[in-house]
Amino acid sequence: MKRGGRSFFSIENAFALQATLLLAFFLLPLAGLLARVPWATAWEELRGERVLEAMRLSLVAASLASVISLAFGFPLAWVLCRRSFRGKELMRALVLLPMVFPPVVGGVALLAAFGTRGLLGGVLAYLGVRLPFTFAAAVLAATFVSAPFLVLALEAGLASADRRLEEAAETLGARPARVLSTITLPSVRHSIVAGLALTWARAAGEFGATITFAGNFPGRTQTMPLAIYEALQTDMNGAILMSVLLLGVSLVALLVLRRRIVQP
Amino acid sequence: MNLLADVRLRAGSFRLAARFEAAAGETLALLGPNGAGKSTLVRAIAGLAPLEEGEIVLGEAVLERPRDGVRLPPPERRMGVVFQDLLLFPHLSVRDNVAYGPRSRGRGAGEARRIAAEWVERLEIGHRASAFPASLSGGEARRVALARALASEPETLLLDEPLASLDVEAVRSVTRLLRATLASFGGVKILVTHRPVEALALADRLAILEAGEIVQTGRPAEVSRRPLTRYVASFVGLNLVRGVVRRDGPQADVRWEGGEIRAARCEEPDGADVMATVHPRSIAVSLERPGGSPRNVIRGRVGSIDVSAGSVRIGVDARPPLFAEITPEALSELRLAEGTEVWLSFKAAEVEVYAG
Repeated sequence: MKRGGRSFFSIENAFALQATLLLAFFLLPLAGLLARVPWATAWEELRGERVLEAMRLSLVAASLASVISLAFGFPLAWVLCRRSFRGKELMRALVLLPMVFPPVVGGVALLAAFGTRGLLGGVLAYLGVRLPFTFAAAVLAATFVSAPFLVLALEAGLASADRRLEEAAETLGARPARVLSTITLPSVRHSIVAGLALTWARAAGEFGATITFAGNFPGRTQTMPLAIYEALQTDMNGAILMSVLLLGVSLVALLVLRRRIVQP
Repeated sequence: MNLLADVRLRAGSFRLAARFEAAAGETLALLGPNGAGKSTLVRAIAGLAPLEEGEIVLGEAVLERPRDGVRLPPPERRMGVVFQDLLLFPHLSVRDNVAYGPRSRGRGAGEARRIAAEWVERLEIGHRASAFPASLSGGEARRVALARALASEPETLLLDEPLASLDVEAVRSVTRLLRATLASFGGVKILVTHRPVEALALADRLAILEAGEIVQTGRPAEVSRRPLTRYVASFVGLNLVRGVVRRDGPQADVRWEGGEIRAARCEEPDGADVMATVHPRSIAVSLERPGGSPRNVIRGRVGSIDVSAGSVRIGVDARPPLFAEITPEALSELRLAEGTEVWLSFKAAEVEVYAG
């Protein structure tokens, strides 16, 4: 069969089919989830103390992880992009390290570093700080898995920013701090927003590192993914409802921080 | 305040070793072909490219002198730069772009706004004050860049190709504003351009930059009359030969490795390195070897033919390569085309010789 002189079995058609299949694969679970939502009892289920607590913990942990990632990730991205020094490639590889850790392994590693018997356990104990199985541990676990997304987004943004604008600002009398705040930051604002969106979404969905390093204590470290996992064993309807809620909140967050996320 | 710039630096394989001085109130055009190092020189003066040797001195103040470890950062140099690519801040309105300098120099928000409004008006872009750079036309953007540089209260102006890539209408309006701006600015004004006509129209003095070196400086009239390099000669429309004098009474031959040219008058001593120029209009073109009096007869091949208002400029590959200017009638009569073999001839009296 021929259309427009081209075979039906063209690369274009094959790709279009494959693309459709992948998108369907993304969409079907979502449809399945929505199809099984017990809308009638949804409100009652979600009002429960545990769900609200878990939601609050997720929102706060993901937001704190994003803020920490930005505060330390921007300087790191800046150094990676603007400075040249020996060992820079090693440093760049280190940034990717948390991404290749399976999250559970990340949690174990965090325990091995900050746990009571971990590398820094003695130091932390001396300072009177106990991290494992606290809310702070949940925040650290979320930061560990999500910060690389922000660093990568910021580094790409800084690399494509026009440095000559900073030079122009300097000739106009702007000192480094002013150049940074009035020229550099605004020119990478889209990267910051896109990076924050990815970071936040990744942090909000964090499960493995959190349950390993922070444990599963309702009201303290039980974030939404943990609560969903727990509900799954006893209350399928509740699990589905919470999943849809978490998904909805993440989508809203992505839309609020929207636009440049998918664009290059 | 006078500016002394002695800039020596390397950028990759490119070497810049340019020294010039400019007096307060003077407009100095830095003129040179593309790739001569003009923009690098501007960047160095502005403090954006560090010197390896040399110095930059403004009035009594040493802005940079590597030998003494002195290097003022750009914010402290008070250079008002108009960059070739303008580099307007895309996230700021015209008004905020222009107010950026005064704000950076410590003025309050209100005062910076007032200063910006004043410059925006003077450069006739008041109606675009709230616009963002992306929506400006080429001429408007150029005026904003100029206003932004002037509002930062500079002591020196560095204008890098301020008229490049503008349409005819915009060139006219920007030139008018530029002229007014230059006239009212009391400090040194450096105008960088690769277009001789701009330099001749706007500058008090020219400094010619070729391959990273200043090869000639002088008032436009001096430079036009006595070019020192082939590049300068070509933009003022003269043929130039560099050679050594061999005197013969009042007359002289100017010799170089490819031949010699006879000059009727020469005031330079025997053995001196000199320039010899001859105007393209003084060169006759013929197909046969000319008879009669001309002392300089050179054979060559037509390499290019440029027809412009009322005259034809013929580039001839000969030793030396020469341009001849003939009438359109002569062109059709001689049936010249690229590759045609021709004889060029000119009188010894048409050759001007001066020290290089």
